[in-house]
Amino acid sequence: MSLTTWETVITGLNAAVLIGTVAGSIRLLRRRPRSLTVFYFHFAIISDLTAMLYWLAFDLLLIQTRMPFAANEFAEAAAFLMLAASLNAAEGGSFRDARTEVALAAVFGVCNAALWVTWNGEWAEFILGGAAFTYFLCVCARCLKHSGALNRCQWIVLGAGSLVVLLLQLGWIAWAPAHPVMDHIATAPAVAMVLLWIIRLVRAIRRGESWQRRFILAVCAFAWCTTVMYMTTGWWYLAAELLNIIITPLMLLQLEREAEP
Amino acid sequence: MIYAENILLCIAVPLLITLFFLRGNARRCIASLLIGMIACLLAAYISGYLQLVTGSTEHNTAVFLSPIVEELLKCMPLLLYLLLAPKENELLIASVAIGAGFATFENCCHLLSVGASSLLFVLIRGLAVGVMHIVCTTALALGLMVCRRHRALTIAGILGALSLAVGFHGLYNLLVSVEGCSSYVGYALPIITAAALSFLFQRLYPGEDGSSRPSVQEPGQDLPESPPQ
Repeated sequence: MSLTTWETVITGLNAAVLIGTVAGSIRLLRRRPRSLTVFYFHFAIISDLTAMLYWLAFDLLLIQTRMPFAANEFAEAAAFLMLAASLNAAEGGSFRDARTEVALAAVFGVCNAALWVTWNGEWAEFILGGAAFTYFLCVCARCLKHSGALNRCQWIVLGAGSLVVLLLQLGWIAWAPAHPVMDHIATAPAVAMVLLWIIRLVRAIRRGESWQRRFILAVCAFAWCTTVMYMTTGWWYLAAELLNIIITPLMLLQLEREAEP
Repeated sequence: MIYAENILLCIAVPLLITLFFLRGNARRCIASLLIGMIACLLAAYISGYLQLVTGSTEHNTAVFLSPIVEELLKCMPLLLYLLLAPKENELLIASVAIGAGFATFENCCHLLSVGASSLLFVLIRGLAVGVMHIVCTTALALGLMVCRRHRALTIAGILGALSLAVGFHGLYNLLVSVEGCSSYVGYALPIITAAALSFLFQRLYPGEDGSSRPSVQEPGQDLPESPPQ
């Protein structure tokens, strides 16, 4: 099978997993009708599913056509805002509690959006989508800090990892002759960081940490995985999308614990 | 070339005069129909402007940008309705009428520009595009109502509800833009979704006498008395 066929198959698989997650979140919403965390999560996953179905249709029908800004970008931006709202409902606190972390997350988000514009050339979709994504990253950073989900060493790994990923991506764009090699060098650490997030989440589940902390870790893994998906193409993109397929139901599973008596 | 403003005037004036003779839900329905038509005209202007700014082709603008612009313009009067805090069934009537007004005016302009000689084409236009606008606006109104019930009528909640309508509209436009099997799926999509929405509507708003008429509910009325998070 060609890469394009694989992409279509895995996007279809992702859509199927999202449909399952939507069904699970409906069940959860019936058990916890007043939970804002579950409510926002439910709508975020529906928006993500809408974006995925749109992308699948685009992939099959009009892949060669230029797409300046479309419904899937809108749905993705809405999904980011609703996941941020879900995190806000799960974990209190204010941005003042984590000024440094939030500032660094904002810089990371803005740099990523700038790199996407440079890479893709479509300023509208990445400025609008980038704004929502940067806000989402800031909320993730605040919730991580407020919940104490990461220790000092893990914060350093996250900061260093983010810096390395940004620099390598910049190098990939600036150094055109080395694109084939730089593609792998720039993407491998980013994918490795997703695996680190998943490992941290599994440890949190094994240790029986609070559902809020586990949910925040799962959403942060999703945020990082989305970042990787935005910055890669080809087989690396497929690897990131496969990880995304694993992470999506993991987010729901953490909320299942919230609904337990 | 057609003169859309003149067509709007021609259709709107009798409806406008009708408003003076009507009261209650009937007046609300006609007013919403008019608002839908005006939203359609504004959407055409804005889409044309965006086409120039982004340098897109007419086809790409219709497939990718128009759904966002049209749903945003249909959302604005609904949000105004929500601010005025009407009952839920009133909002639903308004949403259906806005969708119907939008679809009616769009169909009028389209038929005037391309002709109405083929009955099959006219039926597809009415049953697919016409129903699609009503489905999108009703889904949007349902989304906004659910957000209000959960005290989640924030920017995120509104964008979430809007993304459903935009996504559905965009998917329809994308499917029908390519001839063949996908376009048949696209044409069938609004009718199937309308049936599903009607089923959902009956489940969510069963009439007190067991009929499917929407009952009047206040925000948060159906929420159980468990402690908030």
